[in-house]
Amino acid sequence: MSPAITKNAEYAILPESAGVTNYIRDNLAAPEDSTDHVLALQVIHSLRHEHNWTALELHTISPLSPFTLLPRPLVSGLPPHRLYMHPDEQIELLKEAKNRKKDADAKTKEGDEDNKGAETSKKRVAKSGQPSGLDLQAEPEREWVLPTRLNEKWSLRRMAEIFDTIGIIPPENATTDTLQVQKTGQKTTAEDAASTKSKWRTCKRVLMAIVDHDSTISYYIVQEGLVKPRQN
Amino acid sequence: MADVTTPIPISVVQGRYLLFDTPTIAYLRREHNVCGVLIGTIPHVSQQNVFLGVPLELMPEEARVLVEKGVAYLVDDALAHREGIWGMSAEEQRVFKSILATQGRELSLAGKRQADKKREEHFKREREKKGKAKDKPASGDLLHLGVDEEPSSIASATESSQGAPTETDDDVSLFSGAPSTPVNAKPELDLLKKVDQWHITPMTSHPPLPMHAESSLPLPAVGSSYPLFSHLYKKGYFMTPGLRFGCKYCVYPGDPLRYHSHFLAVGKDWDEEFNLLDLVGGGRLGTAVKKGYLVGGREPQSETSTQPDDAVDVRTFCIEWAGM
Repeated sequence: MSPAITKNAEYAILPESAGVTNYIRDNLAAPEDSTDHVLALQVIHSLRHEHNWTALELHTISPLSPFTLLPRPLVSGLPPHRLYMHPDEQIELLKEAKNRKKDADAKTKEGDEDNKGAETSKKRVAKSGQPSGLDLQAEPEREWVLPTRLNEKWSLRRMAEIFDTIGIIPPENATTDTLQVQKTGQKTTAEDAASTKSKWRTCKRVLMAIVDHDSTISYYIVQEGLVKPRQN
Repeated sequence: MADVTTPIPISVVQGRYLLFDTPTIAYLRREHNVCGVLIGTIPHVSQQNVFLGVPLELMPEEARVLVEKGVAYLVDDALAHREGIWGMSAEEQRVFKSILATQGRELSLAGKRQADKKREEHFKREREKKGKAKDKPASGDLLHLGVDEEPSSIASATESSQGAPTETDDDVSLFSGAPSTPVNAKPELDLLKKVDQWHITPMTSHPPLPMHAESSLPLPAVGSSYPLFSHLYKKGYFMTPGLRFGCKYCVYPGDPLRYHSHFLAVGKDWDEEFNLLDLVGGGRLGTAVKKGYLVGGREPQSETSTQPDDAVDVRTFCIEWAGM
């Protein structure tokens, strides 16, 4: 009997609160902060730990000139890989990759002829040391993230309000309301990406994070204007 | 497409916007980015619905955009037909009937000529066959008989085919000048000629009905998605009904026969509330078929009074799944 009792006693102790709960509790500036603020923190936590985002920041004030209060807190951050690539950019990069590959192949061929010329093509590729596939070299870019709840009602007006208050690229260092960012080695790359504005980045883009009751978060890219779809 | 005269009449039948003229349909598609949907089928074989023909049904948005552009006007089909038929003068009726008679005779002659040609070819073949048979020693007398019979029938066939052109010439001269000749000109000849004539059911109502470019009908009633439609149309996109893709319009960057569609578009009022689940569903569906889910609507002018151009005040948002 006694082992069972001790077991029950163990169950009576509350489990430790979850990481996200602690995170939100620790980072809430004031207890009266809005639920939107909590939501944003939840999204930040998800991006950092589930999707390996870095340089995450919480914005409550618009980075554009009147510097008004944002309709709701927004998040910006740097994804580990490029999140969105315009189809035209993809085509250009594919062309570049193809040219690179061609050059590399030509080089190895020359080398082979110099050496012997009796090697198989398989060996050539292996020897070249160059990436054999058409790998696209696209630097990740900083993105805006809009935390929302699934049960919210939205309208075009509300979406337009969000888009009106943000710029194309999130500011590198939000001076207004910066959350303590865990600075990693990747911080430098974040600055690089933000400072060199891609010529393809011409319209405002927001990653909409839609959070359900069960804390499932799904992400959708919302762009303003008519942007032709990716060919995946 | 020189034979299309604008503005084009759009027939309004039971609240649907229909086009019945193939050159017009081609013209609108080529010049004005309006595709519509072919809905015509064979009345008694309505299950034959894979390849549909005229009439072409236009979406109310398409009809409206054309009317606003001044390319087309609306005609209440039933009313126009009734008024037109009752309002015809005796002279107009006679001219129309004579036109129908001419067409009927031309058709019947064409049919006869074709039959003659067929018969001639048949006899020619037969003759060749028999000629070959004749070369063989085993050929019988019966075949000889057939060969002998042949020339007379051929002669009759050629006779009739030679007779045909003169007959048509006569017809044309008689009926092209019909309006100027008195009503009772050569009635016996008329009767005689009518014996052979095919009876045509007219497929169009003009002629006899004249076309009036003025219309008292109001602009087609359109929903809250019209500003988006008009915006996309002005940008040169082609729109087709989006029922198949769970949206209001499929948006094509060019003719749908040449391009895949780029967007699944849904138009909304500026303050119309929608569930985020709609965006999730639309975004996921669109991404699955390599399209973007597009929501858009007209921003009220009071807020953006600096931009009077109505192409600017429609704002659109493209949604794609982020893949994470």
